[in-house]
Amino acid sequence: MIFTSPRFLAFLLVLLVLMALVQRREANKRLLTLASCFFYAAWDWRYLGLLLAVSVVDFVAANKIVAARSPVFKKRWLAMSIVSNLGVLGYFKYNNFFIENFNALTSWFGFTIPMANILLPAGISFYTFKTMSYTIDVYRGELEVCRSWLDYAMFITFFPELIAGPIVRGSIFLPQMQRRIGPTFERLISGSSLFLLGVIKKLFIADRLSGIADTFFASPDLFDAASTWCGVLAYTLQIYCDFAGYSDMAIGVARMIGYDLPENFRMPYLSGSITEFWRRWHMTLSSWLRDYLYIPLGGNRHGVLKTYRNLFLTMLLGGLWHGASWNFVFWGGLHGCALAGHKLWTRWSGGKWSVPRLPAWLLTFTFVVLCWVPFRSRSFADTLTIFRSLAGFGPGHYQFLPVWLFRCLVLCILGHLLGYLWFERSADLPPGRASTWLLRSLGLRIENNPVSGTFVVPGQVTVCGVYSLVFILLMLFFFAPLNTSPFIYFQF
Amino acid sequence: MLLKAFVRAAIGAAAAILAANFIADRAHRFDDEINPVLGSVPAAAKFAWDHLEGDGRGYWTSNGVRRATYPAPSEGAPILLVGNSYTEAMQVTDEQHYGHLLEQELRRAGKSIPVLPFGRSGYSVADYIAQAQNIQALFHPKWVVIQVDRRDFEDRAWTKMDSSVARFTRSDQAGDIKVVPQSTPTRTRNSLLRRFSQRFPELFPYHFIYGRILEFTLWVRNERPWFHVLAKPVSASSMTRPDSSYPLDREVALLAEAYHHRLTLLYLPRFDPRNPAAPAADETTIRELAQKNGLRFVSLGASFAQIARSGESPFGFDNTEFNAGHWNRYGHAAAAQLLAADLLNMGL
Repeated sequence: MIFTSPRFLAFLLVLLVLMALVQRREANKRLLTLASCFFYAAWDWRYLGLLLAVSVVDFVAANKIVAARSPVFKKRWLAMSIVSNLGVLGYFKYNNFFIENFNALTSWFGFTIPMANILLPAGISFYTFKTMSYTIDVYRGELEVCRSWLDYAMFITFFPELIAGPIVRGSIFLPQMQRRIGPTFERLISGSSLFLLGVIKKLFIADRLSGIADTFFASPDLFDAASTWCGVLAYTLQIYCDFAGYSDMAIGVARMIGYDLPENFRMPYLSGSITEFWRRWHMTLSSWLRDYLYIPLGGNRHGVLKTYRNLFLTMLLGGLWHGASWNFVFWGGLHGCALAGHKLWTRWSGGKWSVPRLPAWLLTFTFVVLCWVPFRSRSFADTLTIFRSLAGFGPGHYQFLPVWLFRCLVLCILGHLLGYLWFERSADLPPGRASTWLLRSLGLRIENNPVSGTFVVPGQVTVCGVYSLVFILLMLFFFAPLNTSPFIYFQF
Repeated sequence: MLLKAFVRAAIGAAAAILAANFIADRAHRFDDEINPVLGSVPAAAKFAWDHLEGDGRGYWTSNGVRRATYPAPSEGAPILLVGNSYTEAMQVTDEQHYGHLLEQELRRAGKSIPVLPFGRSGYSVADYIAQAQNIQALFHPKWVVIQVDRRDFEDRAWTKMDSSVARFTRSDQAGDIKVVPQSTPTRTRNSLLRRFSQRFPELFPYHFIYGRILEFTLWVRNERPWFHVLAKPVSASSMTRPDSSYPLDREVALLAEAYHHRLTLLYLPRFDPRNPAAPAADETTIRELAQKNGLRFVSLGASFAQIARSGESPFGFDNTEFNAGHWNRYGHAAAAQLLAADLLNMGL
């Protein structure tokens, strides 16, 4: 039941009606938890038990941490929670990866272990990180323990972000349960407009580009340099619009049903450095990695070399989190090196020599684009072939310059330009005349939300606003590809 | 206040509908009509275009023939190109169509023979057989070329499809086959919307909207079932018939009989970019069956190596995918050359 499917829209509609009818807070929570379980079971009912079991373990562990008087016991309960979460993640996600590598080492001695027949539970990487952060926060005393299992189960199973994030922390989500829950007219409108933005990103751009990127990455040895650049660029846009589109839809759906989820993307391809990129890309994961991995490893508190080591290790593990493959580890390693390199440069230059914004952006963007090659390739050999092709030394000679890539590029540039003018620039400066006029004529206004960041919410009905909305819906009806591919991050 | 908002919304929505319809009409237009002899064919004396797959624009004179003018009897008996969407070829312009190019090639060789492309999307071998009599009576061709690929002999020819006029079925226990006609509409629905669309196609692209509604319906119908692991696995009997069970020999024999063995099969094999020169196994099978039944056989595969050398594929467009979907102008040009060489070789 992906967000862009008719079945999900029906599910959401029924849920909204039921939530509007059920006024009592507890009943509303029960309804939402049941709906979330139903949503997850529609993916694969066999793993619903695992999801609930994980939530029970962490619920009990967190309560025991608070109840324990001795720090040793607190630590033991925390360790139990972390080991169980990582154990579940390791077994379901990395089992075959370990076996494969073990076999590669031991096959020389004629000893191999058969591969396990395990299906990856949907969203396991996301919900295990969510539960782990909860128990760690409780252990650190940064979060009050949740006494109600219903509340906790709802937090863990909350369907908008269950499968592919954003990774929501208890400190953000649990306090929201205490306020009045349910859809309001304003939330419905602003949530559905954000949902629509996500649909545009997913259907208009990501799905259009998925076939193009698949063609190039399926046969990297066929195409010449210009075509290969097109393929890599197509994937660069696809993964952004796919994941950011999903995040927008998730935040939009959550907003419709009365909850705020944290912002996950803030125009990452505008970044002027790799450090900035990670502050804008998959923000909930990068902040999770910072708070629960980088800082516990020592952060920047133990000297320069250890800081670089910690950065590198964090990104390496961040890469592995994405999938059980050396390609992801390599991707994480590249980003780790770049982050350490940027830190080194900043320290060495002491802020005196700053690279102008445009070359800095170009350098960062090119690096990010090139890093998507190992991320998307099926094997390391394919990665090398693509890099050779990009440099003009590849074996292929077929030409394919997809028109849709250029159309999508124009759409992305326009979207980023508007985003920059409305959100980035207005953060420092008062909004310009043109953007104020444009917003007003569209009947929109900007609203700041402490959790989800800046929102565009509809104000009064204007001809321009209705025209834009109906026009977008009709364009989706006429031209959106209907062979929707699953969201890329579902596999993680 | 509320009335004001409503008026604004109505004006905005109406303007958006008009603008979106106009854009949709610019992107794709195709009208069909019911021909008393042939059934549903592209509408006569009308342009159609497709900028969603490829960048084509074509003109249909009458009887589903894609040609600027209908040839006068004094021009002699024509060569008739029969096929499905590959011959209808909405994706290329009239000048890029293999029918037009074939006529030019023949003229260059001193033969002034009109070429009539008759292609109908969704047709398969069963349709070609069912329409044989009508086609020959209507066009009196000097020679017929039928464009086919492997799937035209297989599932497409055996399943009931909206756009086709016939399909194969087993006629007896021994396993012989026959062509059974399918019920086809005898007249187009002349609804108010359709009439409005015919008068103002830019304001209401009826066919495009209708087609999209059908696609959406199919999309909803094909959605993964709830709790999919609980869903029953598809039984073998309900799946597509395995390749080996298609009686290709009987299908080719029936086709040859229907056209009195005066027929060239233009075969479109899949293009393998890694090994373009190697003929596919299915091509060899059909070639042998064609020769056995006294038919001429031209395979587009013969030009694959040359097309590959130029870094192109004969299929796919820069606004769709590489080597997927219908054939492009390289494919059409190659087909025209191969057909011209074969037709001249047989002394037509």
